[in-house]
Amino acid sequence: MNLPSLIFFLAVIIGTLAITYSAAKRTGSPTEFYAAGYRLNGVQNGIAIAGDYMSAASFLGIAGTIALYGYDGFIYAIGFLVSYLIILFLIAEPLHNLGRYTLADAVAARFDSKFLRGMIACNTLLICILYMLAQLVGAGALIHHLLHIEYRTAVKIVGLLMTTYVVFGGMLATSWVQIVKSILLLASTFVLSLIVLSRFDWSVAEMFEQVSRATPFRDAYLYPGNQLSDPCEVLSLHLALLLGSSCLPHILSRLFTVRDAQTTRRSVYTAIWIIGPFYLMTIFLGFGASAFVGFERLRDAGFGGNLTVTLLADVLGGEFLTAYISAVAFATILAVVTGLVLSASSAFAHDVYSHLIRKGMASEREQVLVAKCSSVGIGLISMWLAMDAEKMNVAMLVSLTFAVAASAHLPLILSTLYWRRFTVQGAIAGMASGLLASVLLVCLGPTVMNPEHGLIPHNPIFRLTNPGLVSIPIGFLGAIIGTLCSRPAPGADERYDCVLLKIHAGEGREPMKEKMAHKG
Amino acid sequence: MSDMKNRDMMEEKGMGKWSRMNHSPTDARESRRLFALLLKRKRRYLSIMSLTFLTVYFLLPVLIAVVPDLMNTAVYGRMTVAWVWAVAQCLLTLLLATLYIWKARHFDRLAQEVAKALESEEKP
Repeated sequence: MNLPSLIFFLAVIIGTLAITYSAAKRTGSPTEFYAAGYRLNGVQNGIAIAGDYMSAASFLGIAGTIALYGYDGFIYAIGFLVSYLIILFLIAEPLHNLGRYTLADAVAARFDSKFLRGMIACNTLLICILYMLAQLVGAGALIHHLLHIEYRTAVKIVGLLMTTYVVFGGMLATSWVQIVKSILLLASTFVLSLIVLSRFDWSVAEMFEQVSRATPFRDAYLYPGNQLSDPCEVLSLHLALLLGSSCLPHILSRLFTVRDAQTTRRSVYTAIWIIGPFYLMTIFLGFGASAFVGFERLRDAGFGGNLTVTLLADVLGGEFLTAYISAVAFATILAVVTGLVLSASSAFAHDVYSHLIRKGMASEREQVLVAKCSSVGIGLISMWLAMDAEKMNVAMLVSLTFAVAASAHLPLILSTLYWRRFTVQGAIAGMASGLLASVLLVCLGPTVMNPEHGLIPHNPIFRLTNPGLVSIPIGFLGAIIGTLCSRPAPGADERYDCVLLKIHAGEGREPMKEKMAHKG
Repeated sequence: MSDMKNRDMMEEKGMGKWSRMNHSPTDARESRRLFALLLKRKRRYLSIMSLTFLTVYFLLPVLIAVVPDLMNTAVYGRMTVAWVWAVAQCLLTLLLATLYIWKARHFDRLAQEVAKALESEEKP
């Protein structure tokens, strides 16, 4: 390992630990642990939300896919960005007004079912662990390559750090780590884009001209279809990106970290304005890499193009810039997995332990203690899973995560908020059918069933890599059929009226938040 | 009988605002009317906005599949229609979000009026 990388990596570790240390005094109550005591303002929370989206997958992955396949990589950027409109218009404010820390809280405002709460919590845990596994495997490989540390050691380092941040710093530390990382990431993307653009004489037209000659695709590099040629597959990817990323648990749990719905709205709005320009800049990074690094070198570097940005930094700025970008990539991975650990632990400690096992009788200290213990447990479990998963197909994990989030969570969220007739049976049926459909279709699809290198050496029974096109409608259908086959509970109509009042007029919110708002 | 029980249950959970409102018919109408107005406006506005971005979003892959030649026509240097559409989609996202933030202030004001009306109905 060379000196600049060592210094930058240590700076990231020391900086984030310092943040955790200063946040450690403020993790005494569940509100502080899960929701940073509603202390964050709109802009801070917005930067943190944006940070959750700018995961290693989008910073390294999108730029890499654009560099290798041109237009098809940009589909991911549009999908992630537009999904924010769904959050902003349909989900953010209602969910904030309805719930306290988790999605299950919000749904519990309409349905008292313990079974449903348990189901939502298990689903959230499943999504978090799958996604975390994908990030950890990617992270391990990346750090192994950048720093020449052994894969298993790299996973251990990331796992220990993420658990430390959550256990000692709670949501406050998680958010500030995310905020600092977002600013670093934006700055480095901006600088790299400027350098790339200067190499093309500050002309976007010139850039398009040059990349159309730089790759073996030639002119076709600028046309859609280099990675995905089947229109159904493309449509399915569009659907999964749009609907899946708007229901990822670590994004949803950020909607609860501020004091009122207006601030939630402001946060999402800030996030859109950060993410939008960021994704536009990924075009420069991708094209820059394909023109200056060269197609063969990118392809041979492996990791599905995940090393593209660091290779680009190496060509443009040498060792120093590479070290800086690698450290930023490291911080990115750390911050995102930390958010995932926190949402997983809140699903377990808040929904399963406090509500289902202790039936709301647990004291505040007990709740925080359990939350911390479950963070340790989740951190260790995912670390242990990731250590033996070096060869695992990350693409499968990611498409599974998005499919489960979109097919099982979205029908539940939208129907709870906007459908008067919706019943608890519909909620359970919708979640179960969405979950089963997405798991089954991924298992029957080409990522798992592959005659050459799949888990099941057999020709795929289901054609699509991304099952969203089929599994999302199944989830909605399950919710609709379940609802129509059951009768609404007595008083459901009045209860929905109250929920509507809460959602749209902010009436009858928990007094707790108001109290905290005055204190803060 | 079961209806009475229900109402008690709702009151217990602090969700009895609507049922209580039935006791004071004059003011009750005001808060109900305002809230219905808020819901109607919000629903109409959000459906138009959502339809807009969903159409623009899904039209792109559909058009690429149906008329690839048109989408691959260069319009600015080597930049094709598909690229321009994709970038325009990003800008549209920023625009729609900004429009909503402006509009949401009206909704907030209306929601406040609902809350005020509800409060005055609870006092007597």
